[in-house]
Amino acid sequence: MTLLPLLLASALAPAGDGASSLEARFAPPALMTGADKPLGGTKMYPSPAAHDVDRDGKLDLVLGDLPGRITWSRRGTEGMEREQPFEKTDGTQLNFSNW
Amino acid sequence: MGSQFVDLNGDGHSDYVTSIFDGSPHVSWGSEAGFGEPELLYDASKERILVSYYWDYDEESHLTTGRAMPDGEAANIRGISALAFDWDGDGDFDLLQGTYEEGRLFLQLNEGTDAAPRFTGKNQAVLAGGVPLENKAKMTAPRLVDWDGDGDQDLVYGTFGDAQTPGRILLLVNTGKVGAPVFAAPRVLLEGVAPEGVPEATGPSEGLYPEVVDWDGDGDLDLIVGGYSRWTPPGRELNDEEQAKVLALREELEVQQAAYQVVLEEYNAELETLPEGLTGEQRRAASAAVYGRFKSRLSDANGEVAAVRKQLEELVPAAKRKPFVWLYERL
Repeated sequence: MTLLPLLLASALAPAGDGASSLEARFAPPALMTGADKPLGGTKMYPSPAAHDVDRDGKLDLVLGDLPGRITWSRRGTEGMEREQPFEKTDGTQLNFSNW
Repeated sequence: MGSQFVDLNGDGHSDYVTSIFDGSPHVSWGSEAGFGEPELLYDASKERILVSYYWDYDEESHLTTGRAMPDGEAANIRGISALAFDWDGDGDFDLLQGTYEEGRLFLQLNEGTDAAPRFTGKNQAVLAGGVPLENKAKMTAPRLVDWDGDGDQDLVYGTFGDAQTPGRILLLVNTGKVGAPVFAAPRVLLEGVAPEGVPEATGPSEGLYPEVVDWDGDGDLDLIVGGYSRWTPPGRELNDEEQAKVLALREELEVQQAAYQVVLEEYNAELETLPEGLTGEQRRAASAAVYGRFKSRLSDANGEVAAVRKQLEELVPAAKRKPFVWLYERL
């Protein structure tokens, strides 16, 4: 998928002295992929959270969704890796299942 | 659902806190070995924590209750996000719950400890700019972060938006202090991508779920945003014959959609004739029986619609809606 360049996504008006940290300018949104596949691309309403899942000192990306099934993508040395189930201690996928 | 990794019970391990569309906060307790089976969170009266609208697992039905509402009145708003946050600075985690409908935010205090919580069972509306926070575009999930670097926790949250109006990412600056937060009126951090005239996926348009983190390690806070992108691929130029075919297919699509709607309405009407007072199991069985009678007709009618759509899309690309995750690097 090709990404169209966008102008700066948004900006908050500077609010004066002491409020410069409220100013926010962002680069155009960049699609996040893991092993060349869009992260969250198979989810309903993907919701990201940064967390060091494998305790290697680097933040990984955990993804929730509307049905409550949790996946994650490890941040490896070559970038984000393939999205995989976030497993519980019993080896099954963590699932905050709805009714 | 949003997600928060936080040591909710103070045992030294991160737990996984969230709320889902059943209307209640859940937690998967963390340990050295990993995360366990999720469970509901309960208040001091052993009642399930919620806002008002919820899925009742015993009744197998959506119900409302006013028991946790500030005014005691039931309302059609359900919590779909939760955050553990020491609101009052007493050393234990209180709970924030964000709602889907009306995009409101509620606080429930913990009068116990992290190891032995005693949530009050009563929600208080969180104010922003002196009035109860409300979002017509509904709320996805809030995140806690010291956005302005003044040592207290601010809130960043997303909104759903819809097909016409993109969702947003908003900031509530905490102008109070640790233990006594006061939130200013919402400020827009990001507008979702308006889908009109967009030929490719360029960013999130709908259902914007934010994470706020220094992802690139350059010392400032970036945004990672999950959500649906909407766009319409450009079509090719059509000859006269093809244009005529497009017109015919659009008419045929309307006919087939109307036919499907007729079957769907018959199906729904029959579902509404099911008697009151059925148990969850009886209702499920009766509903399945109704579906069994309509399954073939619904499938056939839906197949006719899909077939016409497929022919039409070969000539005129249809609008797309797909989920992605995007990184907004702060400049």
